[in-house]
Amino acid sequence: MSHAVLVFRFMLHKLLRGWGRIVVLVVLAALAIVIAVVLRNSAEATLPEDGAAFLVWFGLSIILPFGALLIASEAFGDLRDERTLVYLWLRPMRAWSATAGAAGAALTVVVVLLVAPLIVAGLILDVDVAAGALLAAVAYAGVFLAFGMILSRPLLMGLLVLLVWENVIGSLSSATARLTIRSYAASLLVEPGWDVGTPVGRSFAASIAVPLAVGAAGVLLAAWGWRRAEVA
Amino acid sequence: MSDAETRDVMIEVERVSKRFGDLVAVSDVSFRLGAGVTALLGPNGAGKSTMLRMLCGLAAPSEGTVRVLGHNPRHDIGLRRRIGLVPQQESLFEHMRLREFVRLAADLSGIPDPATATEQAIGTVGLDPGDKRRLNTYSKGMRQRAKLAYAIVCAPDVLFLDEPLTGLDPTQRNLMIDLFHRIGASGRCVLVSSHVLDEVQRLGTDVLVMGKGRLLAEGDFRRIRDLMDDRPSRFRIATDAPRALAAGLIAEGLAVGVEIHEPSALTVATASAGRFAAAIAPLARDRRASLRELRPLDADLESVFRYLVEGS
Repeated sequence: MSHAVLVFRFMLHKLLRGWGRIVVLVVLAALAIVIAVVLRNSAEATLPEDGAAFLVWFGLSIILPFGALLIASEAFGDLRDERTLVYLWLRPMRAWSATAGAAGAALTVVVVLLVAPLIVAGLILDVDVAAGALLAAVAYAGVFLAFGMILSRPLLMGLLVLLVWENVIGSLSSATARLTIRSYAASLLVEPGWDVGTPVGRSFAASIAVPLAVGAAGVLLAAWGWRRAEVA
Repeated sequence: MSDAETRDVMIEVERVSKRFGDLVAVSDVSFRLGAGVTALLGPNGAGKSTMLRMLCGLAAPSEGTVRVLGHNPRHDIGLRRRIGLVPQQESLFEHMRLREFVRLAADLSGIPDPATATEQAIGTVGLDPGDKRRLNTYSKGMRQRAKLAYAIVCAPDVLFLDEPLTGLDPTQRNLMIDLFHRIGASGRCVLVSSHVLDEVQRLGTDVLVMGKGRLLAEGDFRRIRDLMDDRPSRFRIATDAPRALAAGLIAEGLAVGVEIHEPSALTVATASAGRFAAAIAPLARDRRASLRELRPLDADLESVFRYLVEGS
């Protein structure tokens, strides 16, 4: 069995044991579905446009990035905090194996706990959110995995990035929105002419390529951090 | 030439220093080690753990070179299969069971027949491979042994142990020390750090002594003890007749200095701790003094290191 698979299994087991965080994410995901049902049955909501606005705001701007932060930063961040990273680091495996396995585990948890419920909410609201949510999950999981590996306070730094970068800077103009993951993911589920409260309009190719590139860059950054880590 | 130099060199440390900002954790340390058990001795904060981390590749030296089995442990990933470490921290993968934990090391090390190796490693440290409890329920002593099983499951050529006897009861300590000696006798290099003098004495005669980040002494442990014996040892005695006992100690030539703390204690400085220990009880009986307490004041390692550091 390859090192990446071994780390994937180990991390998946570990991440699923973090009951507190899992419960928070399940509640948020359930809330998305409940609100989708309410919107669906509301006489005032215009579907699918209002549904897309809700999914971009609540799904792609709140629960997906914050959930990915909680899960992905925990993968290596907790090992560093608990000083157990040494048990993995000192085994004869390459950095990319460790980080790819951890990234896969974090992404799996995010997809199961958050992306899948968002897809259900999208089905209720007649919005195809699958591709956008999945690509956003890849990007956020990669970035926050790297945060957990290289930063001493990954949760705090991740919150700052989400609040300042993704929300404030991303909302300033269409030009600054190009710098956010959210705008690429949202572009995949918004039809021309819809107003979903956030600048969209990225090309289809860019909407696919940029989140994938950001996710891959995050995994590479985590691998760099693994190699350079001074392990306690 | 020390014993270590006559054996095949397995660990080579050349003028290694490690700084964390302005803090110098290890300063210009050089030594060589071969097969067998060597104790890395030093008080807390001496730089032992930092030294072990650099030997494993977990930290990069700020200056100097570290070679383990001829390789750079920081960059040679393949070397990690030949290195085992029992880290000082108690933490484990708390959500796992013992067998899962040790098996993870076996699998990640890529050894043949990891299942059998896992069983053997757990059995070697005296734990139960069938234990269904999770590691977060383990006592401190069991955690130490679980860490040791993790470290030895791939039969490493070089084994580093950072304060491995902490938390073990006397029986477990004996078992572990015997195990270290067995591993060392099989041609492997075992480096055990400790700040407890009694433990180090039982680990063997080869020691490295660190203090304040520097290598203060290396070689045969008995030479270190001789260094201690050059200085008077001090004892505190609680007794109902301190003056009579003090007079007797001086008359017998057992004390080079006495300080009486009326009404019931005295502090004695003696040039020969062994002779003093053997003679004090008969002397007290002769002088009709009852001994309530006899406590060495500077037999602890901290005092030894104070001497060494002040003299360096």
